[in-house]
Amino acid sequence: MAGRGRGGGGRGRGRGAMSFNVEQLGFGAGEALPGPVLQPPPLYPPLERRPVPLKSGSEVEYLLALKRDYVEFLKYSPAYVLPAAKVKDIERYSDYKNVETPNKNGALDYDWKRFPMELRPVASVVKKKRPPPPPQIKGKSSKKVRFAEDVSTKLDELEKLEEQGDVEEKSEENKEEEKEEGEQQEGELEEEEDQDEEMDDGTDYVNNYFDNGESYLDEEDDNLDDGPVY
Amino acid sequence: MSVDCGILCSKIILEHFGGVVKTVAHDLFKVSSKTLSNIVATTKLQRSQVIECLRILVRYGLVTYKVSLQNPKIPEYSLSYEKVLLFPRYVRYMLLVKTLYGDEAELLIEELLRSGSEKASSIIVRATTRLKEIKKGCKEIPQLIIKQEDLFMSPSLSLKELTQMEEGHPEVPANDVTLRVNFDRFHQEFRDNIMISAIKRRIDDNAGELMRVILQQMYIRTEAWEPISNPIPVVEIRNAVHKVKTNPRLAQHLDQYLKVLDEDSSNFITKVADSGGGQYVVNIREAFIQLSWAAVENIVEERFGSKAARVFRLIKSKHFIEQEQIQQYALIPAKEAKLITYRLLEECFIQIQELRKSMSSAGPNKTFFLFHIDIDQVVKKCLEICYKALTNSMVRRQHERDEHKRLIEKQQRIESLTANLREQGAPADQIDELEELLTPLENEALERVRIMIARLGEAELRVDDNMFLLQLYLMYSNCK
Repeated sequence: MAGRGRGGGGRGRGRGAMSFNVEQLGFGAGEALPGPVLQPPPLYPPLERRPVPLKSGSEVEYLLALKRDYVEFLKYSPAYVLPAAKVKDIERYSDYKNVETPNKNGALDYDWKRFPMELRPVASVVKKKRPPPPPQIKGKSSKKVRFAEDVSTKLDELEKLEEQGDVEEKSEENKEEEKEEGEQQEGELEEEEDQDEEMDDGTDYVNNYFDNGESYLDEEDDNLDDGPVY
Repeated sequence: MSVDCGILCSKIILEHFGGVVKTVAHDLFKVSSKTLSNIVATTKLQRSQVIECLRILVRYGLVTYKVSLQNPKIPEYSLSYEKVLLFPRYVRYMLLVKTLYGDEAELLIEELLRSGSEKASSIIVRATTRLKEIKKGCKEIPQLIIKQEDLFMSPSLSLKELTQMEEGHPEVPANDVTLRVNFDRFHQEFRDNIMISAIKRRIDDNAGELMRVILQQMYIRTEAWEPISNPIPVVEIRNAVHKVKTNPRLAQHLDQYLKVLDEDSSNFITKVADSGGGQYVVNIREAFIQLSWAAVENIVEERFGSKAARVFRLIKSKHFIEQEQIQQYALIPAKEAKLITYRLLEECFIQIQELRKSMSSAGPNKTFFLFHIDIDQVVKKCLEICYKALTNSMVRRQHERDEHKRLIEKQQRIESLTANLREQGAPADQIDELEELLTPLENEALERVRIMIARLGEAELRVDDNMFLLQLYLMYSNCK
């Protein structure tokens, strides 16, 4: 009501001057404006007119055949990098179903002089130097926290091996800094697995409490006095 | 670059090199350069995988490295996205080489494109083995060398003796060179072909021939990528035309053709001096400005209709024009003219320039709104449209292939089986039985898919054509 009054008063007093001339906007007062937009524009707006037809010919077919060959060649070449094989936690049925084996016709040979140092292949001598990694607790690079076991003998062994391993590692690290990171990662995986097996020795999980029930029937006669077994 | 460009690059790399390389490339696209450890950190792939991807990308010339600013010992890698965009054009390079130099050269180029960059000896050996498989007779190696030196920009030199040694003996010769395809030379050929076909369309086949001769003469005195050539005397042109001999009419009417070319509004060639019978200059930059205008006008016409094209050409000729004048000159009813103008404005084909008569904002101001075209902007916008179109086409092609993957595989298996049977000379009924495994319905579906994929592939080639033209324009307009 107040708005109406004010609006009526405004209109009555003479046209309010706006800073731009309405006509200049491109539409006059009173012309039908396009309606309110209620939803986003369609994802595939209909084509207003047909596109010019493509000119086919033998040339184009030849080009297409060439392109198909090219893409196929690349797909089966070692240039097509496959994602790293996932570490199998459990054997899954899908592993047998979808076996992708593209034909890697030999590794590509590169002219190593044109590549920076870090891309060149690591000399294989380095890999073998490291002894089979003993279970050790590497403070700086272990990702999960491993808590020490209760068995004191195990602790002593570990400490000795750790000292050995650390010294060796440091000397190796000083020699090649970056190239070893890949190997280190693999080494870590192995060590973590070893630690897993080690861990279980002292705990309850390893001790075999399983009773397969064969002796159940035999003992039935003797246990009448004992009462319920929890 | 822009997001659309990035998406296109990723799609191209995905199609050719797989998902892992794509992740690395996409990562590099977003920054100007990155170190290896950075890449490993952001992509969360294993370091060995990233190294593998980088090796491949460097080998194919898609990634370059230079010393990083922070630490002089570590290289930083950057993606050359222009090289990635060249992939759809590879087949055209192969075709060009085939038409110019023959089948053997085409095989050479194909081998080189397949492996990115490689030692010359291995390429030659592979190409000759393929040749031997295809045809029983094999052309001599020296012929192959000649083509190489024309087209390849090798980091070093010629290898005549080496290759002759190589053919018989599978040893690697000592000073072997690594070869890489010289894309610039290919682009030069494409550019010339564009100009020649433009003249052919506009005037005459003979005029096209004349243009070709003039361009050949131009290369004697001018660098390949200059915007304007150095003057070419008529005498040379005349001699060259007489040498060619395939076109007697051209020789007869040479002068007339030259005059026509000179006076043509497209300004491909202009006469600059009269000494020596006349000196002509090829305006390459001018030519490409004209060609891009034509391309853009056609795009407007196809997208928005002929009335919009009329409005566009009107604005082009008048440079700055008001809305009312558009209605008047274009002879289009007011409302429609307004709709069209604003639609073009929305799509960034034209721009608005405001001219205020007074800076105060009190009272009704008479502000002029002038429409004009900024051709650089429009060309960039058209390039973006091309990127999007190419991406869409590739995605759709992939989608079609995935949808009918089972069918396609079945067909391939049946084909290979029938081929084997035919070789072994099995009776016709077995072959027929096998072929009947594919029902007519499936056959129809397969045919439709095949046609669709072929059409999309063709569309990609045409879009690439367009992209080439627009990119050339931008290059020339930047280099001034």
